[in-house]
Amino acid sequence: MSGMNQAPTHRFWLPNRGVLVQSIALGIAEFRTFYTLRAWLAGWFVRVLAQVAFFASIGLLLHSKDQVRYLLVGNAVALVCLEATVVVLTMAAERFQGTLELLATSPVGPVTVLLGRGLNWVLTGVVSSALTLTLLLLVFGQTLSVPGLLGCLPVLLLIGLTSHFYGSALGAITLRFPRVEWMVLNVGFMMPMTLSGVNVPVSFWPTPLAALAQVFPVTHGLAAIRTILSGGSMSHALGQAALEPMVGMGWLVIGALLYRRMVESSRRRGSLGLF
Amino acid sequence: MTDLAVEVRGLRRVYQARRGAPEARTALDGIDLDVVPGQIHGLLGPNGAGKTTLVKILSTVLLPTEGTARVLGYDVVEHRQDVRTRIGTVFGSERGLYARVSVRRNLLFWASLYGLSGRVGRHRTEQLIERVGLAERADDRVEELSKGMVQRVHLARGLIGDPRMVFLDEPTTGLDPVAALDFRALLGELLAEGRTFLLTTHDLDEAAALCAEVTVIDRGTLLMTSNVRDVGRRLAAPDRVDFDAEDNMVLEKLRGSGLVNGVSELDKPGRYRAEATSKESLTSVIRLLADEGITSLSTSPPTLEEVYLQLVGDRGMAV
Repeated sequence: MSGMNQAPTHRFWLPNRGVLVQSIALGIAEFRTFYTLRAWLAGWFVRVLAQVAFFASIGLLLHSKDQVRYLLVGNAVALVCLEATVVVLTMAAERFQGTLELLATSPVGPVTVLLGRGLNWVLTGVVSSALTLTLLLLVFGQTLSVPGLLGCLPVLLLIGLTSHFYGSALGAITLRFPRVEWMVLNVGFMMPMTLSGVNVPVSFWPTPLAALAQVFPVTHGLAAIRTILSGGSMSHALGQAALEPMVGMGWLVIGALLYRRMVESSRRRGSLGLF
Repeated sequence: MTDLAVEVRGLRRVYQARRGAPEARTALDGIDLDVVPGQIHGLLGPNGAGKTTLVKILSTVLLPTEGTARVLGYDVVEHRQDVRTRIGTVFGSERGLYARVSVRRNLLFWASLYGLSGRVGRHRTEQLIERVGLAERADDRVEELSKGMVQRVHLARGLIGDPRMVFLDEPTTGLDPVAALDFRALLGELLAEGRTFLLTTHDLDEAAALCAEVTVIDRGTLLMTSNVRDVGRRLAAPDRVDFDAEDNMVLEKLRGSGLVNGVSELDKPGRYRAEATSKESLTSVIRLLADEGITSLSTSPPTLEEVYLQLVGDRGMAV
């Protein structure tokens, strides 16, 4: 068996396509062990439908069809962020099952590892958001355009990826401070849920908070989706959507630096394999 | 560049005090170690001796506090990436695998982390599945396999990058005797492929069966490194004489001679073992027995277990 290709040395910033493909396949395989289609529909999808319907019904109480639409769209889009940030738990699980030290000391660079694990949550998040948005717009008697909905799909994917990078950066913090992953996940998700225009416009917040909202996932992508669904200018929507991956890249850089720093710190402390 | 597979000099590792462990703990205290390529080198010691800490430093999981360590000529701190592409690590527990997914899916993923993707990764995965004898269970989830089979998956994962150096951290812990024997046979076959293995264990039979050389460590200190066959000779342990005797007078005479540390009865009735105080006294013991008309006798060096127990004292196999 000897004589195989020597594993290549990977550069810090260079993602490895093969790892990404295998990582998504692994994530989907793991996902399928605890969700069948029926279990997902009955156990998860009904829950998120109820959650979004709850927020949308506040608009009914206010006797405002616009408020219903605003809350419905905001909360449906936030679902992709909710699912993608679950990567915080995935990273904690890596430590718990003893795979983290093997991942951290594998020949590929940290960006690849950071990018790779938990990407399946982005895909399921896009499905949850898109289906919830479509179904509840119909249920609440809102206007619905098929081209508009199709136009939202790539933006949802962008929000999912940005949220994944954001969640990965938060997950890197839990490498230094294990056992706080649920707190990090909840606080981490509540920030865009509160500030990013999900339930109230970003402009509602004082200037410093409104400025802070610009660097969270969801903010720009959600604004683009609202523009698309309201039949607004496509160029305006594209401009808004383009800011979302820029935010994502920022979180990717922060996450990669944090991850590298946390792994090195854990190697010094001897806590890489501990939970 | 050195020809040694592992070269460790003055290696020290101190775990700093932290909450729950208020005092700093020295896990390794100035270890020197050479591992010759192409053999299985045993790292023997009771739990807490520092074996796993040493393996973690060599596999770049942990940084040393002082000293140097080189694997296949590369410094584990300065050239960690060169080390990582050339080594494999095998744990002795269910940790380190994705238990919910299949053997094949696990290996495909780990193959990609070693730069083996697409057709090359699939080929390597199938080759290893076949090699470790799991072809019929390749699509089963890891959590559905027996411990022996899980250990073979660990080994396959450790070999996925075709490493020249493999660290085995107590790989047969928790295995039943048949599975452990099976695993050792597999290691023997892999040795023939020219790899080097560093095997940590507290199983003396395993070390004796597999290793060409053995290093004994305890409380972070290296006690000895020796060829397994030379262990008895290199120690000052007394040599033994086994003999048949029907007359207790012979035993009393032997005990009073000052030539032996003790005389004990073996499993077979009438069969005894005398432990000579030194190599020189061994000849006198044999002469004394011959003078008493005892001709059925044999000498033997101490077993690895006896040497080990002498070295680590009361800690023995403590866990």
